[in-house]
Amino acid sequence: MAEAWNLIIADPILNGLTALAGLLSGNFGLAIIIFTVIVRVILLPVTLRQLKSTKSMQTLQPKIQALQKKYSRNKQKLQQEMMALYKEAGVSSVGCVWPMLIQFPIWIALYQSIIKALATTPENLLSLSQHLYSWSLVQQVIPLNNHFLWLNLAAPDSTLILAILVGGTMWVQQKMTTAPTTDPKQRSTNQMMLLMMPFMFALFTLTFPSGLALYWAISNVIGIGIQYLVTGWGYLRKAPPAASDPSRSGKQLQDTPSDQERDLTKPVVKSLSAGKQAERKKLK
Amino acid sequence: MKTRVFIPVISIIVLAVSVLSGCMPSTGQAVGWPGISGDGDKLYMVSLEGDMVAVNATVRETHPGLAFPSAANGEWVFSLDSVVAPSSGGIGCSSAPSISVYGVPQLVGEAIYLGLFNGKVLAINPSARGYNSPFPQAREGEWMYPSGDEKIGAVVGGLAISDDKSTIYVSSSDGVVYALDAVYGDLKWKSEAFAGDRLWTTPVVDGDKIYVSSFDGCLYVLSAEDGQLLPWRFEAESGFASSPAVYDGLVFIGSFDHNLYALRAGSDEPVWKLAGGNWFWASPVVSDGIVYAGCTDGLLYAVDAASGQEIWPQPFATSGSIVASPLLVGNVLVVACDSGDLYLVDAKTGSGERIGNPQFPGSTDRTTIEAAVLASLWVQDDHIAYIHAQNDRLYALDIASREVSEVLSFREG
Repeated sequence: MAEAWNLIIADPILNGLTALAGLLSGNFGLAIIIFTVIVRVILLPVTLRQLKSTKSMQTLQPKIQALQKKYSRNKQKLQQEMMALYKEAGVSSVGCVWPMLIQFPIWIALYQSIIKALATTPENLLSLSQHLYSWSLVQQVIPLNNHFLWLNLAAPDSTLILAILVGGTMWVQQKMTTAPTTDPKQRSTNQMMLLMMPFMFALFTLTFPSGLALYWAISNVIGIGIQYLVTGWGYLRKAPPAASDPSRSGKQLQDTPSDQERDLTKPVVKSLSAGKQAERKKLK
Repeated sequence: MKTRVFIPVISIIVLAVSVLSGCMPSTGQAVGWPGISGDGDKLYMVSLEGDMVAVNATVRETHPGLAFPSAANGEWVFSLDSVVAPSSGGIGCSSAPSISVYGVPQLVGEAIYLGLFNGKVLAINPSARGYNSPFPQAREGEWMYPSGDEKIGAVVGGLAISDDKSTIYVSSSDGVVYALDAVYGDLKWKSEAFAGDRLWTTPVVDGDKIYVSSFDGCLYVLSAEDGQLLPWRFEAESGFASSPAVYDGLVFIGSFDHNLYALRAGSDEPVWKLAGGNWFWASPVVSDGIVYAGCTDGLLYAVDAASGQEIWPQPFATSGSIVASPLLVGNVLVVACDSGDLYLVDAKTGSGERIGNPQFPGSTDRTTIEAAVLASLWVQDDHIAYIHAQNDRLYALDIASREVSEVLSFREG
């Protein structure tokens, strides 16, 4: 299993990165950035599918909210109806996580590559000799320089800069795709996810080698760029079409009725007004 | 929708748990491969758990089951953890030791000098450790450099001692060479001429010069007197993890560029170079005009020091990478590799044989020792080679009878 992993994923990434560093005068930081761009280009079809799915989700929001309102007391039915809606619209509810899941093996292999290639311990450097291809480009660049800008790529960034960059870009990227909802439970879950994921990754940045965090930061920035080109700023700036008003905070949404709620309350308001007018007439 | 939310959450938790539990492979923890040195009956080494130990080899030869340490026989254990604050490694494999040693303890007179990966250099007095006195006993010549919580860069290579035994030279991962007073541990000078490149090798003293090999691919020469960088340097195609060996006016050193070089100080061109199949990590051994160099391609090369011609019909092949320098005992080379196999090789002809696993006599499937051998070997009384394997056990190889036996395990249980 470990041999297959090394043969198919880890060693090609390790050697690819090392060769890139060789081409870039031994600059491993630049090699990570170029590698990130290549990975994002390879994943572009999946990313575009995800964005398409997100866009479709946006257009489905009014219908979803209507369903949430309609079946607020029957969660099972709501799930069934939503699944049917997704199916009808050709939207996959898990489609948005595929780019992340696909990147998981890359993260692990990249993590291993950084540890091996930059070798902070003799054990890691020694194991590198068994994983490098015999390409002269790769062999001549060893041992690699682990400094890039202010970072020691083999160690966590002791300043908070990279952690903020990773957490911030991830938040922006997630905010662009997180559709608002009127379901309070779902809304709190979304809000938790919106904060938890960037927070977790910012935390990882403080413990993982900064080379890996550099990958996350650059990957997020590229992701934001692609997302902007496809969907614009999405939910980061504006409300979804025909949605209640997602830009409002959770509190505001609780205090103010949604579009559907307003439709239901209109007659009540009218009758109240009519009653008041009759009372006024009586008083007169 | 729930699935959509929880898959990333579960994924992150799995990732976090993997890292926190140290399950993720290659977590970058330093374990070490400490070598052995000895004096009379005693062997001195550091266990992989970070304990400096004295082992009475003679007594253990006749009393194999004796409990360790046997104070009556002059054995002791000194926990280096107790004097050196562990490095803050962040989240990682919790079972990794906090003290790591890659070099060989240097025994000079009444002191054992030791460099730690944790950025300390120690002078230890075996008598004071035998009495379990608090460390350091300055009156007994014990010291720690730098003192207190301060640290220098990680020390990976061994220590070099000046010819008059008054100065200890150590190179470190922060790209600095330090010269320390052997008696008091005071800093005599430090040379920062290496632009911060990592120095993972043992400096080699040659009269008034010190040779230092660096990760930047250069072999430098320093003045032993004041650490000034001397004008000549040699630049290989890649860096060095191999320490140089000096013999008959030539410097021999292997590189990451797969070449073993013979250099003459002052000359830009190598006298000769031999291409290996992978990195040369182990320092070459030179004797009687022959250079013996182990390579991570698993081959042991024997080369004429003057001409660079290979001496043997073909290099001696082992079953793994050779990281520990071969040990020359008379006319026999003891060779160890990272697969755990040990070999005895005729230094003149290059013919040799693998030592069988004592627990599985006659088996060709089992390596001699079922753990990697990376640390330098030690020979006692010219007939027993001692091996500290990566399973933290000490083995003895009787060169005459070609039998290997376990002397001691430093691992609890």
